[in-house]
Amino acid sequence: MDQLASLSELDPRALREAWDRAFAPRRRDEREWRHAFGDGGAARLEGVGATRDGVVQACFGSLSLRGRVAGRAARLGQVVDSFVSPARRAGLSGARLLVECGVEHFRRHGGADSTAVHYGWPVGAALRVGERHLGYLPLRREVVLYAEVGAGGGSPPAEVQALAGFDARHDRLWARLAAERPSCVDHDAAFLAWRVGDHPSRSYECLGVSNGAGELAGMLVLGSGESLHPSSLAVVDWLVPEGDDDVARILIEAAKARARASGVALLLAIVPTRSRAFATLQLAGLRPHDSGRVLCARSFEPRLFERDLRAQLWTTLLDSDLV
Amino acid sequence: MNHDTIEIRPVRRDDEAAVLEAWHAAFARLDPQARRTSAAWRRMWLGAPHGLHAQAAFAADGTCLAHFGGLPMRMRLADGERPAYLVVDSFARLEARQGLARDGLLARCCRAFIAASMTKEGGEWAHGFPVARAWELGRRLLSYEFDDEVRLWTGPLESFERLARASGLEARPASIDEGIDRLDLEVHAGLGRIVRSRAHLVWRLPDDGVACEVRDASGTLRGFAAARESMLLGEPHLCLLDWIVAKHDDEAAAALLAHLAVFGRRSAATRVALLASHLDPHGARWARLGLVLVALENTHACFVAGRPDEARALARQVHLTLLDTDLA
Repeated sequence: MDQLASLSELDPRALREAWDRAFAPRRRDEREWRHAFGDGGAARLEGVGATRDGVVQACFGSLSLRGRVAGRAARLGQVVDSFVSPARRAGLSGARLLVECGVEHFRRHGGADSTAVHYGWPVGAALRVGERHLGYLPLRREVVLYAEVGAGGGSPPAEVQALAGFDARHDRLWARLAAERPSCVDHDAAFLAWRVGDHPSRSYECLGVSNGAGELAGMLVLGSGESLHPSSLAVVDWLVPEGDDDVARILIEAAKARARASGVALLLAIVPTRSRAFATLQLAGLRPHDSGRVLCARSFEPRLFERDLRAQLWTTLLDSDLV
Repeated sequence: MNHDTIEIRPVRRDDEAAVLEAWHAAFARLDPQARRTSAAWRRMWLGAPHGLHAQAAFAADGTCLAHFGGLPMRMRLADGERPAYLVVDSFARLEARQGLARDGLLARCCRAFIAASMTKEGGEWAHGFPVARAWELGRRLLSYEFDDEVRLWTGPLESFERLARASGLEARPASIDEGIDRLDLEVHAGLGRIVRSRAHLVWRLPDDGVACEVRDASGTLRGFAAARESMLLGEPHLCLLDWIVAKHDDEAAAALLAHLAVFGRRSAATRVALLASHLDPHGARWARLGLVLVALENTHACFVAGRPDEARALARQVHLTLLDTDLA
């Protein structure tokens, strides 16, 4: 008989062993596990696991992230670390067990006052299972924007600075952006410090443009895009206020220069298709291509209609575990 | 409202006045400018080559209370043809709306439509482009499956003129014949398509638009395009309804776009728009012309009776243009 328990109630070693079996040959070392559980503020891992005789059989979880929903402070959950142990995958029982974990996870951790919106990009059968049994709403097929960067070097525009560390300037930039993004994870200094600065196994580069007063006018985060294309650099975060087209253009030029310098073929990005940034990046020379991934969400915020969620939910690659 | 006296039945030719009255009652609240003439209704519903496929709920006094219909077409896939329906004019008048009740009149009309029109050959595919509220209703009540949000390629009218300068060919008004279906088969080999027979095009192409073609020296059809001016994204656009040109035939493409641009210059449109499809062989062309993708609030929704997985899989195989929609 399987027993359901919150991740915080599970034996951490049993959870890690089950994760290693499910995602083999991938393994997480101690630092990666610490990061996966979040910093407790900007991010914290929540979920439900099924155990039998002390062995974790399945798990369904979300990384609960501080943000805003319909313009109000709230938490959003990025569905991650969901699996069924290889021994239980055959037949329907594995899917059933995962659904049981998911239902219980949303019962325990889904709510307007806890984690208001859970989102993710389920693939294959997981999309259908999520729609049928877990209340997933498909919101959009993501469009990847890409540009061939060509060969050779080229230095980034002089206005662009490499940013080291995250401080109050990032918070002030984020305050401007948050007004334009009513439903999103807060990409403020604390989030960036945890997600980008402290990541144990991935490296990122932050490029910014300052205005005359020394404030950040806009920035982007670059990281490997290999999960989407084998030879690519990705704009994993786009933190440019709407209408600042000059800043956008300069930053894209800088990103292309970085891509050329690192020898990859493509620069790519994913931003919401209903955002102004989607048009801005196309006008900067990035072309759209079907990514094959569907953004889905489960909302517990009664004031947020599906149409609002579709129009508002602002995600970048940094809100996924793809980069 | 006494539901015992309500009759749900197929729409007939002589229901025109009742259905049109209900259509105006349902849509005038949303758009006071919404008008549909008798001629437009007859053309849309009675002119369809594959018959009239709509169900409506009528009160005892003959008032039409709700309506669900699909414009019948043929869909060509790699494994053969099957019926397809473009779902349009699905509504219930305000006093007959029952929120998300599963036995509401709209849902009952939809079920009657499925029973009458979607179970003959098996695998009949229905699809449509509902606005956000209608999509939410359709998902909950009518088993609509999500394919994707609707996206358009858009840009200034000059985008078409930019390429137009490069052509040595000249397009002329289209003489719509069966050659178009042959051309479509060649150009879109391997892609799912709504079949473009002569009868289909005569029915679907609007009277107020432009249709043009390019032929080679032997008279063989080399390219076809159709457009009309329509309000999209809050302003008049020259809407490319249909586009059948070989992927690398830049000469034919330029000639056709030149012809359309002349039409566009005589209209109020300052921008162009066309339906974006992930299967479009010309996607790179539109990007090169400087067009950008813009998402609408509409959803591309679809269903196959009793086979939800199949509906979405089919949607991923079919290359649609604005001519296959009710958007422009």
